[in-house]
Amino acid sequence: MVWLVLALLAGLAVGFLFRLPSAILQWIDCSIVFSLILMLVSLGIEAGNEPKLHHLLDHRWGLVVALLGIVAFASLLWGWVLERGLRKP
Amino acid sequence: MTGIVALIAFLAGVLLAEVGILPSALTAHAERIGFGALCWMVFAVGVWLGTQREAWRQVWKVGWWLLLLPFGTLVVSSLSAAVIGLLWGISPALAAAIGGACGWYSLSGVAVAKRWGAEAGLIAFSVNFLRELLAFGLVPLVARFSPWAAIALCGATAADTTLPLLAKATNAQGAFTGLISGGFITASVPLLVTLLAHWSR
Repeated sequence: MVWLVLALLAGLAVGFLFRLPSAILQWIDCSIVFSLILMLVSLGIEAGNEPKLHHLLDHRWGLVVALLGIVAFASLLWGWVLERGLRKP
Repeated sequence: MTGIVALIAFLAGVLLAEVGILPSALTAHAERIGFGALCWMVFAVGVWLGTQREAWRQVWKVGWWLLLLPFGTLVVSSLSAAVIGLLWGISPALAAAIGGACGWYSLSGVAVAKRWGAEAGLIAFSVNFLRELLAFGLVPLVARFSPWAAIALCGATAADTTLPLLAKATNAQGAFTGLISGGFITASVPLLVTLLAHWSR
């Protein structure tokens, strides 16, 4: 977590203090997608190598799906309702 | 498009691990490689956000109302999960702790296991891990209709792993809002899980 905060603060400082050429900004933009793919492949490798996760998803998948579904739905609904409410004059 | 690419990348990783063709050194360091990529992504988003001064002003204009988004996300995630807990016959406090972790799977897995046992910890890990994956898949689609709904779905991860995706799927204002919302939730989750664990004793 500390490294992530440092990375974010360093990025904000660089973006705020220096006027970077558009070519560099474009390259940084492209690198976000490539790093996202690299991160998710690594995450997939980690998940694939976790035998306990397979076991759990085989036996308690109903509870996992129910919790995931309700939490995701409630969050989506809250964000949508709040955004609509704040937009009203 | 980004959501589909994200899911394909994750599934490719699972497939590579299942087939077992990867060198063991690479598999052993997958976590470090992923974390390095995440640090670079967060730095790159920081650079981009630093150049978006107008978006800072727009977010500042919304003011304290903005905190309703993360606070409400925490509350509705916990309460809705507690309802499922009641229906499923498990402790509502446990279910609320799992839901209230808002996608922070590493913390929730360990914290829940400590109070409610290993299996509960694994359920917490799975639910929150899958919430992050679901966010990767749905954010590009949901953000077209409601950026705040997409940010709420991301939960705690809006400040780190899903921040680059939010930046791509929304705009600078959406990315700032995600950063603030994710930061607030990240700071609150340990407190919420501890309180629920204490309350259920």
